[in-house]
Amino acid sequence: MRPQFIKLRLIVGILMVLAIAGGWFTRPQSKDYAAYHELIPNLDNGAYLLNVAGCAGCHTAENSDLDLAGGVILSTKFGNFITPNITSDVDHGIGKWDIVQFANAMKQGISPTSQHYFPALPYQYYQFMSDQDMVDLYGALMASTAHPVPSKPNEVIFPFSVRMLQGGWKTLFFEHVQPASSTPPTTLNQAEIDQWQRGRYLVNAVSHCGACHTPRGILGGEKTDLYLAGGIGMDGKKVPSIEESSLNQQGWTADDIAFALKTGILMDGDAFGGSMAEFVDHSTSKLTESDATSIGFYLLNQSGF
Amino acid sequence: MNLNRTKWMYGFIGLIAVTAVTMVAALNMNKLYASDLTPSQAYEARQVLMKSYGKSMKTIAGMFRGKIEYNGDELAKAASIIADQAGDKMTLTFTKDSIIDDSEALPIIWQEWDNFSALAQEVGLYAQALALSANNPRSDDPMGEISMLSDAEKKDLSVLSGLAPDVSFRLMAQNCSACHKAYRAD
Repeated sequence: MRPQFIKLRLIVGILMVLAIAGGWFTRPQSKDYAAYHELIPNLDNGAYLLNVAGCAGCHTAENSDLDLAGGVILSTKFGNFITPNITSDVDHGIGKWDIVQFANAMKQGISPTSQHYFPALPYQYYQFMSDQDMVDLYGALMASTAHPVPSKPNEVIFPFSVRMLQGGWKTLFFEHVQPASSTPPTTLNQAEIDQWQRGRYLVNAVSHCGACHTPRGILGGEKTDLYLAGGIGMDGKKVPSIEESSLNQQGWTADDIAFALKTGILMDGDAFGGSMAEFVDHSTSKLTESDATSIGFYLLNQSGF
Repeated sequence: MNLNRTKWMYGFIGLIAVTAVTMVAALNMNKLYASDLTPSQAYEARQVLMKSYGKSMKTIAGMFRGKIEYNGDELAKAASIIADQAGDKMTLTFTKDSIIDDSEALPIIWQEWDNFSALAQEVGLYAQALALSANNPRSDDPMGEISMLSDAEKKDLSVLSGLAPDVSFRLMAQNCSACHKAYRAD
């Protein structure tokens, strides 16, 4: 055998070993959320979260009566992600999932068949949702109308379509610590601290604002040092900064932000366009006044000390 | 006889005056809204129209947001300005090839002209409904009320004008966002 073939085989062999080792070390590792079985779901709160967390908006095709049956196309430079059916249908939806499988999907990005999900599902944010909210959301989905609509396959370009590679992506970009400060400003009174905490929770966990408002690198990982700083979104459109400094500089008040989130109308009389218009329509317009104001209050006072 | 002559004279002068005013008004309207506008005229007319919308909407939103004291009559005036410039008056400023300078209009407008035109008509309907309902009692849950309306009711001026102004405002806001989402580069 010629020496160059031996060399080639050696290189291929080493690459294969590295790939297997890489796949092994970054394999999906489910977590034990068995304690969730003990919690009783609040279906009203779950129904509220279906909207506020963006589930209904992302998993219901435009002008479709089939709520949560999927089919929304999320266009990115990696290809099109087509959201799946998450109704209670046992064949095409998530009707067979138990709460532990659901929590692993939402918080770890791992499917019941132990595959990595693409980060189009913002599990990086949902991981910070409270145990009770997770159970409430699960309860609401299980109580949803089952639509027997098959999910469509994603149209992601190679090699990003290889799910095993998502393990490497998670190693690089799946942070388990929030980039946002967890300490409220010391100048706040108790009622304001409560409002700040609620706003912080909604912004950084449930409503996953950073998923769109944080710039991403070449591999789609968020640049956490520019958290909420805006830039160009995954769809190639401009996304504004919602950092505390930017919003204060533009003269926003908490009520202005709350009003914009509820109605889509900005303080200068303009209306949101782009994906924010869609998010307002399906999600933030359904916020309670109190939650919308908490988001506004938090965004204007993010930094803490 | 003299009296008749005077009557005729005033009548004639009045007729000429009315004709002249109508012609001037028509010429001005043509200047802004004629479909044979050059691309730059269409772009400029559009800018004027959108700025006027923004100004009216700022007043309206200010009242609903509580930043300005709610005044039904003032609200109705602002809403009427939007209603008066909706529909054909708006679409005529969107002539083909008028994407110039820093225009944010997207070419898909002309591919989806029917839908775009429908939205332009619809904003007029909601603005008119808002003007008519401006002095009705307010609602704490306009989204809830909207969810109770059928598609036909949402487009029925007589139904909308009998409801809280918050309902028409929310529908108008949704219309603005829907149009911007689909047809404006952001």
